[in-house]
Amino acid sequence: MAEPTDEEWLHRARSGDRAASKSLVERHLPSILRYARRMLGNAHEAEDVAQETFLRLWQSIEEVEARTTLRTWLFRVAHNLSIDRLRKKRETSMPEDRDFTNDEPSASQRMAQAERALRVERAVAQLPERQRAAISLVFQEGLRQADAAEILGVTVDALESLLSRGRQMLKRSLLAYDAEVSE
Amino acid sequence: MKSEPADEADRALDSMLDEWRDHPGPATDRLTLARLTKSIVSAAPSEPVRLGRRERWATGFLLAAAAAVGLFVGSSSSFLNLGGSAETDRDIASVDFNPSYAWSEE
Repeated sequence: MAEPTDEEWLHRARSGDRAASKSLVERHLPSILRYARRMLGNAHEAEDVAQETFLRLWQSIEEVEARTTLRTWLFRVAHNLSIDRLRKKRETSMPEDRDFTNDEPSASQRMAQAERALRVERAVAQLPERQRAAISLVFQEGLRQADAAEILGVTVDALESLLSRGRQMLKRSLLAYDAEVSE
Repeated sequence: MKSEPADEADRALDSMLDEWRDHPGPATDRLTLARLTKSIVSAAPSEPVRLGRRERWATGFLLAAAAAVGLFVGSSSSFLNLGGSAETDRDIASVDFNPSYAWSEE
């Protein structure tokens, strides 16, 4: 039997069915959490943003627009909450506290492939905010460009420009690393 | 044909981005997800949610429109005598309307 769609779960969640709410959370929390963590570079803050994102969903569950998908809606809220936090950090001049050093290498990360993924993760973390968001949404979360543009509040053309500049920066930093290692 | 270095760099980047997608990182560990899921679901609606602002507005609008129509019909009925006898209704229906009278000045 096919898995119920988001709309079906939403409909049931609106009627107070917490099993449906749980299904929605289980379906979308991992990617929302991952995105917030990538934007903020901090696991605890990312958890706060993910929780707040879903709390906002519960608060306005009856008003989530039918014209946009739930996934896009959730990413848009998570993105805005993350940007708010980054702005507040800048205003209070708090030092960057990206905690990638806390990511103890696991067994899988010892594999070469996982190590390269971690390098990409760190390179993405160095990108300017908007490029980081665009690259994460499209290349990590696999969103369509139109959806990613909607989440970021830009046109598809502007998104393509962000992606292009982001890729250029990633190429420079990743290939420079390769050159250093091979020397 | 030998590929351009730029193409190779793009392909290398694409390959790395694919690997990156396959390794989402430590934020998705099961314990964290389970703890967060429990906390989030505990705040989910446990009974049917009431109508949203938009629906409330639409309902209010419809009620107001219905009331306005009701008032109009109510007031018109005395003017048009809609609630009158069958005989009066026939009288009203038998009146011939001549547009030229509408603008005549007596």
